Amino acid sequence: MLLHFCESTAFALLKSMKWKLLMNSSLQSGDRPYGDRQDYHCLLFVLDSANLHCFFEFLQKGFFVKVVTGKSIKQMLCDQFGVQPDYAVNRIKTIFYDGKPVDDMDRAIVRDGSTLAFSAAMPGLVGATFRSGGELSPFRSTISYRPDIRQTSDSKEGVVFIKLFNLLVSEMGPAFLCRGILIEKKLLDSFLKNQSIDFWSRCSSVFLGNHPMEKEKLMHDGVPGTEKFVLLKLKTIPQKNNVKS
Amino acid sequence: MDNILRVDMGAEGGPQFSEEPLGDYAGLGGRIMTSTVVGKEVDPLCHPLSAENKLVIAPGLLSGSTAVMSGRISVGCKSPLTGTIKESNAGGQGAQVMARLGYAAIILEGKPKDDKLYKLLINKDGVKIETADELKLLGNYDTVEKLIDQYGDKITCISIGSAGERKMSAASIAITDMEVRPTRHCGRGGTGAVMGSKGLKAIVLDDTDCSMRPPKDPDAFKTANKAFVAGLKKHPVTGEGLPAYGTNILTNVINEAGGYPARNFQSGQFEGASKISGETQAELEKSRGGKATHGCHRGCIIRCSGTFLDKNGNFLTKQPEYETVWAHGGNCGIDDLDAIALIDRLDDDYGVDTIEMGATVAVAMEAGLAEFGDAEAAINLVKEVGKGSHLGRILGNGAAVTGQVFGVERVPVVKGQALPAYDPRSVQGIGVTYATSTMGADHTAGYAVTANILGVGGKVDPLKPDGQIELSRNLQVATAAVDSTGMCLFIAFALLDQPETFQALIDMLNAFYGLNLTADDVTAMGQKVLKIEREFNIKAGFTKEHDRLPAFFKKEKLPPHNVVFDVKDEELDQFYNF
Repeated sequence: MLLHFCESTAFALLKSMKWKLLMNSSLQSGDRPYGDRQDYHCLLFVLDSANLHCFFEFLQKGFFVKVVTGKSIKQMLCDQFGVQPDYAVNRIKTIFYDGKPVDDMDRAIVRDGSTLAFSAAMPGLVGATFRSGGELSPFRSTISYRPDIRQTSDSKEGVVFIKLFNLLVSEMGPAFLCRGILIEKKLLDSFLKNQSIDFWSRCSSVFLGNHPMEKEKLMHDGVPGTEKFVLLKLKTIPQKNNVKS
Repeated sequence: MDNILRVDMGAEGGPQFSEEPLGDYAGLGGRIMTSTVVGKEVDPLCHPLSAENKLVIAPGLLSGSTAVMSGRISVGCKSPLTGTIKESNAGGQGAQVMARLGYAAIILEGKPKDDKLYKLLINKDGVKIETADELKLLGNYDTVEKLIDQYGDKITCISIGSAGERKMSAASIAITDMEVRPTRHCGRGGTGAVMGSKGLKAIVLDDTDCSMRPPKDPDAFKTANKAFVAGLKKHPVTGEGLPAYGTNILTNVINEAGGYPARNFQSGQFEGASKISGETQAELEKSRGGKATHGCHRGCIIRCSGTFLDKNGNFLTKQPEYETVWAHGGNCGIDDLDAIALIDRLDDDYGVDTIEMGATVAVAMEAGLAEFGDAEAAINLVKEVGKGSHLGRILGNGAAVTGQVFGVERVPVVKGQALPAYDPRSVQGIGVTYATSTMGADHTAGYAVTANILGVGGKVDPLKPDGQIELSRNLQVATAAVDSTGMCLFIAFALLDQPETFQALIDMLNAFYGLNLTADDVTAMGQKVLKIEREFNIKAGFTKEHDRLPAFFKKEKLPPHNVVFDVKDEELDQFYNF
């Protein structure tokens, strides 16, 4: 139910931007990242959708998600995260696999522990140089990603570190935030301490696991526990000023 | 735009001006105008600060018309920083206003025999030259404020700060924006020092009651302009990415690729990149009531700029660009956007190139004058430039001089000009451009990613060993052509992906001038510019041995990819074989 609600909110956002990033229906059957792990807490924010952008900084810094490895990047995006194929091809123009520019997302196989960064088309000569399969790709041939032909395509459970940049932050980000992203607790604690009163007033409630949290305590003391990571999830409600009486 | 205004700053009895028809310079604009005049009229062996050097200021071919994005103004001379020919261009209102006043070029020559400072006033009624000693050693902001008090807020100013007056080789020429702030700069190559050597503090332009330049075929021009606008608006880079985040959209991407020069080119990644990225910058600007989307001149529809307010909500500077954020940020180990914005303001006020100053501060940090990451120390170093102290005069002469004075080996310059924000070890092709450009290390020299559309040199085979040379050559030719139109280089991304948008640009030029230009003609124009510039440099004493990157790029491996620049010298030597 939660996922469904978040998907709807994210979709509304994306629709308004004229780009559709549809969540794949197969993901609604409980494929929730880290659901069976207990070495971190899940912190759920129920908040005004106007607050969503405040969390975008985690998306550019990067976050962990559970994936099925042994699949291509395109398969991961489309089959596991529900990205529409035309969006993947036409909107995601720059991909880095462990820092190496990728020219063909169909041939780059996702490994456990890899870092994947996604960007829309970039300006600048160098920005254009990094485009997947672009005319200027010879300019950076020494660092380009080359598919490892010895690599197996066995499907296993794994974790990857994902970064979203620029236009993709607001387009792909909400869906990831609603699914849940695993981030370092100290980063989240620092983030919470720096938020304005306005931010907290637009958070209607916060849950640690199934337990409601006091917002003031969270702001001052951070997320309870000694675990290194926190699974951050958001559930959005319509903006207050948009609600008609 | 039928006249050239020639000002002899060294005339007997004080500066004199004259107007002349275009003559041999008819049909030229922007870079092809400045480089042709310098190539023809300036002795390549002259001292850049001598009376023999000339400063040429030229709007683009379409400036002053209703063509969108046509607001780039070019400045050319022999550079005191590099010793080569120089063309440096900027946005702001200068090109549009100067073109509407009817000038295709202003050529400053000679040198005053006294130490008086002058200002040049141009409006519909004519030209005046007056002394400007009241502006002596003022920063650009105070200078413009005083000029507004005197001449009203409808003016456009082209001015220098204290660095230009002190003839520092990193000095820029400021152009005011739509809000009459001196935020746009012809930054590279020390053109401000040449203006200072001419004793000219400011040019005050007022185009009140001047008309737009009319096209020869108004209907065809209107149609082409409309198609051009549609093309720019629908493209994700010019229609979405640049308006939303500005050029600083590049920080995260370049950093992720390991091509972001950190701490004076010691590493290809900076751990604080996300704190100074375009995404973070846009959020910060909006949270303080500033603008993350703003044009630098009338007729700009990409609007890649913005306004940066300080913590109290007061205007501090325009949205710092990617190269500025890198130069004073990651390149100095600094991850504080407020500190970077303050330095950007100081750079604009003193009138120095942000890339050169950032590279210089990083070299100074490497020399031990400050710790990498110490923002306060970086601010104080830049303030020395404003004071004109002995240290400031060293720093204000750029990275090469600073490295030499303090005995630093890792000095990232080519032909004396600092490398911009892309490490040539991870993006080798741009290293070819840095090495071979007629301008010294310059990222914009090969910026027009339209080479494939123009068909310059045909398709490049990436498997050929000289593929990168050919690609860089094609890009430099295309860039020289775009620089001559007065169009903002950012249009290149829409041209790259949308042939119909490129055609719209050609159609605009043809409709405006009544021509039948083809892509081949545009290519020929770009090649002609490069040949003129190359010839000037050869006569000035430059050889193929100057077309090299500093040695450390060949021997120091750049983390995280641990690559060196390995394009061979013999390959670089093939660049000008066209």
